[in-house]
Amino acid sequence: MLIRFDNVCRQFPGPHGTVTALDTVSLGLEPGEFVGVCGPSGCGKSTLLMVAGALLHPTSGQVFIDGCEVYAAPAAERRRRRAATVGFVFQQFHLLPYLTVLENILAPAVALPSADAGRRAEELVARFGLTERRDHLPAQLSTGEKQRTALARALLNRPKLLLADEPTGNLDAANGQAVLDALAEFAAAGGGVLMVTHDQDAVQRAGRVLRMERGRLV
Amino acid sequence: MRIWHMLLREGRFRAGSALLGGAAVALAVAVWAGNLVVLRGHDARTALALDRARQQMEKETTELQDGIRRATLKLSFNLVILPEGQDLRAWHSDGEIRGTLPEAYVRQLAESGIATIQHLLPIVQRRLRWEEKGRRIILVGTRGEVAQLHSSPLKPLVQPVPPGTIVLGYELHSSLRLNVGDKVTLLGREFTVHRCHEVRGSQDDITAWIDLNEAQELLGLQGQVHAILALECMCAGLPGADKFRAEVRRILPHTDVIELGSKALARAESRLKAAAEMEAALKREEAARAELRQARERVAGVLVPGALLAGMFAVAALAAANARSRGPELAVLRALGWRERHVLALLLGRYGLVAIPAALAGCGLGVASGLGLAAWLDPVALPGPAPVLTALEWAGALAAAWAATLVATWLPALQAARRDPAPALTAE
Repeated sequence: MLIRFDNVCRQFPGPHGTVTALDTVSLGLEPGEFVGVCGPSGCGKSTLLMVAGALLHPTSGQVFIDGCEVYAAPAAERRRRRAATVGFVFQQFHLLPYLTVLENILAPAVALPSADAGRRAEELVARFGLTERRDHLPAQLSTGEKQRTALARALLNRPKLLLADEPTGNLDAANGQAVLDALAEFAAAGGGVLMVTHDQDAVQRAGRVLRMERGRLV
Repeated sequence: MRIWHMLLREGRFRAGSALLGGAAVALAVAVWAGNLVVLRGHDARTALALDRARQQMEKETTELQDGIRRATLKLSFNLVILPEGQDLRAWHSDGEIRGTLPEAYVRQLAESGIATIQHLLPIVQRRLRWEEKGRRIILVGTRGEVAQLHSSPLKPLVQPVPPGTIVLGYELHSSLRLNVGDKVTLLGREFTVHRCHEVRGSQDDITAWIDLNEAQELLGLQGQVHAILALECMCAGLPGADKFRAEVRRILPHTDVIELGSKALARAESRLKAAAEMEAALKREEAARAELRQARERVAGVLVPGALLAGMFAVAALAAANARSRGPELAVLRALGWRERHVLALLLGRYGLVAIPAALAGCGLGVASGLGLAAWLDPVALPGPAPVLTALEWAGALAAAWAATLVATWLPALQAARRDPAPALTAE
């Protein structure tokens, strides 16, 4: 199993008392699965993704990534496992504005250096149709190109798991479909995709859909 | 893809913030370098001014000493040794010396080895009537000076009067129409006029000088003298006179030693006083320059740490603002698996890289403004190039600026590197 949640809770202190973002969530994701998580705003979807990406410590419960209980591991091991196993795609793209397309795709190589990172980045540039844009800055790209660049960056280190947070939220239909195609392709190749979204079209592309309300999977 | 590559790209992308940080570093370094150059310029100009003043003082002191020497030489004598209890009023008014000293005293004094006397001149002197010419004159018997036996012979200061000859003062030879070579009779003895003096405006104008032995015979003072003139006793300076008097009284009992040539002494005293004034003025100038330097050091003591702290504060504020504005970017890097030290290097390196060229520019700016300010504060042209910074100081300034920049950016960078990335990445 690529990822497993066992009774995971995550609470935040709020101005009117504790807010429970995740309430005894349990789920599992196998290799090759494309899971969509939908629900209203504030239901805890993004928190689920942060916990799944080993970025947000749960208040209770256990999270296993590729068989490793990540929050029981030291911070360095958690970071290494995240770099090697997980790729992120965000709604806001979060590209580094001063780096070119190729350099943005190469950014994960700082965390996990490899000899073939350059060649791999060039492959991804070609695969996502960014060859003519490889030396452009994000400000010079369309939103679709930005998201494709972000997707390519997420795939540089050959992760086993892709975590996508509203990946089509800022895209038109054509670009949204292209991104969903890429995610589906990744899952088809044996990777796992956990996507949170409002987009009903996107949800329909997922092999399994989970619905969240008030921090619970329903 | 390397971090330094990202640093350069990011610095260029947000050049305004980087330039502001660089300006803060450059200004702090410039204040330090400028103050250093101003203080060094002050030191160089102080050394130059004091050196010139010292040279001027030495020159003027030499001239004064030469003046003293010439003044005492011109008056021919400085001290006179008289019999103890001599009525000075009678001596000054009549040129009369009533008591006598043994002539042997002269040799005794000459052989005593008093180093401050260069010339000794025994005389007999009496105011009398020149019956043959019907004139009141002062008759002086002199034999020239007695050589100091303990030292090498000097050129005689007063020429002796050869036996059988007479030297006449101006009033005598001019009123009696006497010339060199004329024969005259004095107290029944014939003399040939040996020399006629020019006008002196003193008792010398009515004085006649003859050989000492002949004067002693004419006046019945064989083996006696009225006084011993000690000439050029001032060679060792004014304090030598007191010492000399004490020594003479010890060697020659029952004598008084009187200072003559008060005009010369007054001149010498005024000149020595002037020399002392010059020395005091030099010391005052030294003290004033030292005080001025202390004042400038105090200013530098406030300005330099103030500029350093202000520069560090500005860089820290800019670094904090930069880190805050890059929150999502740094969170993404953490999500991509970047180590904390990678993020730290990205933030620290931003201003660390800027600090080196900024410090170089600051050194240049500081040296240029320091040179200008030093010249404005002390408008004294230096003979050579003005002192600036050594190569080691330039290198030290770069290293210190770099280190201070890292210290200033450390806290905001560390806070940003350790910040929880999740909130910045959460879309909801």
